[in-house]
Amino acid sequence: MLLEVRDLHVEFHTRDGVAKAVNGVNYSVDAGETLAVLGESGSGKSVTAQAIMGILDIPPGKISGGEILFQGRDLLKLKEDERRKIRGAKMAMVFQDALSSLNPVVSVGDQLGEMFRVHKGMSRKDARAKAVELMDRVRIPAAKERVGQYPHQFSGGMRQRIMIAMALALEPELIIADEPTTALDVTVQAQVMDLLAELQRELNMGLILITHDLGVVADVADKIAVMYAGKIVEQAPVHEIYKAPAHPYTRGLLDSIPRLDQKGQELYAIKGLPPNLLAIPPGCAFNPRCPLARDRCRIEEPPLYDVTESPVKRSSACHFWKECLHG
Amino acid sequence: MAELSKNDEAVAAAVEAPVGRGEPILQVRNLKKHFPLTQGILFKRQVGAVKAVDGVSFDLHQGETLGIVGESGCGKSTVAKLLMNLEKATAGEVFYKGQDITKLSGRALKAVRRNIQMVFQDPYTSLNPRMTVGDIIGEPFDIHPEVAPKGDRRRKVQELLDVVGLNPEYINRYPHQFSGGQRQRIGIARGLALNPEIIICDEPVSALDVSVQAQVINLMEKLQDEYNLSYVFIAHDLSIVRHISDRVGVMYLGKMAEIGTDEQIYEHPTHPYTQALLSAVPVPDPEARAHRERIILTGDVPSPANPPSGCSFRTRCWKAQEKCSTEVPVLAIPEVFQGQDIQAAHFSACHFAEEKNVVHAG
Repeated sequence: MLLEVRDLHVEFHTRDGVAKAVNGVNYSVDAGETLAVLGESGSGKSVTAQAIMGILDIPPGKISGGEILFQGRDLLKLKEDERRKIRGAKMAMVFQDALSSLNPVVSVGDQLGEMFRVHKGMSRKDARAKAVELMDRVRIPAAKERVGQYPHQFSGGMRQRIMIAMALALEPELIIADEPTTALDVTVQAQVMDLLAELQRELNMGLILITHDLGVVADVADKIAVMYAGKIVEQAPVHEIYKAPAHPYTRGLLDSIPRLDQKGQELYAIKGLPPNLLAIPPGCAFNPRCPLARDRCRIEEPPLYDVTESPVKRSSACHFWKECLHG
Repeated sequence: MAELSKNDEAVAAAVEAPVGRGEPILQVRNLKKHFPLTQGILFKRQVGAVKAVDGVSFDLHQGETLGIVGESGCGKSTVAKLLMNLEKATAGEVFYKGQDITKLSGRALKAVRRNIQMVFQDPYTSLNPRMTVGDIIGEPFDIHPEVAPKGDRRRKVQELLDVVGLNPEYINRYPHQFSGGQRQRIGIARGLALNPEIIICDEPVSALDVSVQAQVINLMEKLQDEYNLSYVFIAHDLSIVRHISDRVGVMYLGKMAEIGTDEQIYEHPTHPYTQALLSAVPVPDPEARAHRERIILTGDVPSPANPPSGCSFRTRCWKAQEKCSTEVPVLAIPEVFQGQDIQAAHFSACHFAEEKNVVHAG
């Protein structure tokens, strides 16, 4: 297994109390595999990724438990200088907002080249040649002429390609892409997702795709982890989850996509709001919004049940998963 | 002066007249907005123009929802501002009940604005953080006191909060005490305050989480029925636009590429840009992965400061020929479909319009 997250807990100490952002997350990715982490804002999907990369702001953040095994080594036990060697070289991240993630006063060539100069000790000239090569690889036209330009001179789609180029620079084994196409237009989004998928195949990388877009997930993912209030509520291969969700939250998300045959009717809407992380409801965190909720859900916290009924393994954190799966 | 105010009154009277259901309430004709590009500090000379909106025409009928889709930079938000007269049009007309609002000012404009309201995209920046919800929703009454007399306002604001599904007791709270979806409800309540006939919605749900989007869309549909509103619904999410719209217009680089009923646009698109746009939207069904043909456009949208000659889409179009670079296609029923009673016979600005089967979401 390339990466395995075990029972991860992350909390943030704020003025108003302790916000429990991640409450016992387990997931894993293999080489060449795409795991989509699906969730709304505040579900803990990005915080988990930041903990894996080791870029969490500590304090106010604090990893209060769990393990992150990368190629068998627990990253949380490593010293900062050892982690730095892994970060960028073995695992890299693509951020959502390329404009604010790139340095506006350094040319893209220098920013790309920095990867090679810092990690590989290359000379400025060699690093620049490498930067041009990378820009070619992510299909930025006229790479040689544009290598000295600054981020603001590129369009949104091109900037995101530069982010991808930067993540790929040292051919890492794991890429974490946090909403990589959310800020892009649909026609450009399709280009960027295709590029990412192609490079992943070519380099046989593991990919963790963090998103809230059920369409993107259906297009590229092998398996899905659905997060709610800092927990994984359902985990399954992509085909199974779209065919028959085993958790009412997943079902609600899928049902709230406008469908052709519902034109003129009311859309299905999950009632209420995502919980405040300072005061997560007792029992199942989803119970105040759940159509299946009953007394047991308000008292007893559901574990991640094994709900495998076919050859493929899947799990759901709902006491009444059978009802959801077959209802 | 006296004459002018008489004219104002005539306009004010005209905009009070009711419009029958299904009749055009807003008629946009060849609307243009060019932002000048200047050079020099003291003596600014104009060196060009960003053609944000470059000749857009459409009708909005009473009681319907017209969806406008397009990618960023296509001019859809500028159209919204022009319809509100928040930007002065460079050329063209916007007729509201027969009155050209681009030429109005003063009292007459104020009377028109009462009936055309707007809901903005970002519920985090479109509400003043230092005003209470009551003040935000009640502010339109300061400008149009005839709608709600002073003593009556608090009750009226509470009513509006109730209408949009918020607790009327929240009237003294501040925007930061609400979630994104609740804030968008506040923005909608503000838009409703003056009983408008038209609401222009500029990406009203794109900043919201998926589960909350559906709630807000349902609310907007309910309000449309209850108050007999006409919506111009601007968005980039094609499946949401299809769900809410009666007719849809597709914009590209400041121009309308194709316009028709939702079925015509989604099931029988004839403009290559619409086809590419629809095919690019990820389908929330993993089974569709295998058998869908995606049209991946190359390159980016050209700069509106220097649009291509002829058809503005030709630089990314797989069908482009010589004719496309010399002749600007007009938005009309394409010749090949003229006189036929089929869904493909709708307005499309392409020299080589034809149907293409596209598997898409929604």
